[in-house]
Amino acid sequence: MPVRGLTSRSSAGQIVDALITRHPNHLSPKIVKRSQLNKLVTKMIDKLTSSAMRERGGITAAPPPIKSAQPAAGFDGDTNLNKLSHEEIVKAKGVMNETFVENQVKPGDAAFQYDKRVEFKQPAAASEWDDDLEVDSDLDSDDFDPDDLVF
Amino acid sequence: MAAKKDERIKIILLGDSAVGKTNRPQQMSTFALTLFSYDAEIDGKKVPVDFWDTAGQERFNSMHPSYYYNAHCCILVFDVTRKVTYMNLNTWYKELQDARKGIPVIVVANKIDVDYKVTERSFAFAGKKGAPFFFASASDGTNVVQIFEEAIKAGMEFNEKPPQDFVSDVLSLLAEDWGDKKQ
Repeated sequence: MPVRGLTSRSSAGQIVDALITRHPNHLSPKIVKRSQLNKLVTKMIDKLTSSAMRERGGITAAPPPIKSAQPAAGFDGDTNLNKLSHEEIVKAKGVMNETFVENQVKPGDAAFQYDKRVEFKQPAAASEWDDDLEVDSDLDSDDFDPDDLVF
Repeated sequence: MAAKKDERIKIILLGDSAVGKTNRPQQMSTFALTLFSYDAEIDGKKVPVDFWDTAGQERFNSMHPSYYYNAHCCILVFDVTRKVTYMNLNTWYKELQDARKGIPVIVVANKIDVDYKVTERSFAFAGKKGAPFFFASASDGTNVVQIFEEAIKAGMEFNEKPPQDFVSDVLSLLAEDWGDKKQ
């Protein structure tokens, strides 16, 4: 029997509460210890999380830094390719294409799935890129300044 | 073209050079302004869709206005291995909204296959714009079909009932508020 609402993002406590409310005759704290239930649910969530991780390419003990473009290839993450010459873009695209081809899953490959959908776990941390990005929320549009209103 | 013009959904791809906009399973080519048409089936209904790709014009940091003309949805792509492509989303978004106010946008973080660890990070841009966000890999196919489907659905909705400049409405309401406070 599936546990309702159980995903890798679930909070164990909430699931336990819901189970107890739904099945008081079997799972009330008088019959089953809450800590036992909690442990069981946590294990189930953990299992879901690790299979999601496996799908995403394996679990590593220490998270390596996120790979980025290769400075050795003549460009890095801060190089605005839009500003390079046509030849330079072609060259950069060639370097990137190597990774593309390496990781490519094509029709006919065993792993090929036409509509591969992966729902990723709620990210635990914000990207450091956001530290440098100033985004206007649409509601404080810079086209608009109340002081410009003249009556 | 078989369908009436107003039934066609135009979806445009936008973002910096080499973020992987063109590396779709269909492998659209990038020699000229590229147009890829096909009939999608959404909820049992055949929908003619045109996908427009930039054909390298993004190198001029700006697209010709005809690119945005009558577009119904925009897939805005950045490359998770290159920060500059994320920083430039602001510029693209602004140009897009200036040209086609209120158009629905889907933000895509592409190339996650290079390092799946990147999916453990959140990227605030989409949320601040109220746009859906997807991690994707055009290389291994993760979420690609889903993104195109979402884009078609959003485009259909925009085509049927374009928001009557919702943002302007909100702003004018806010302006009334401000006006009151000032007095």
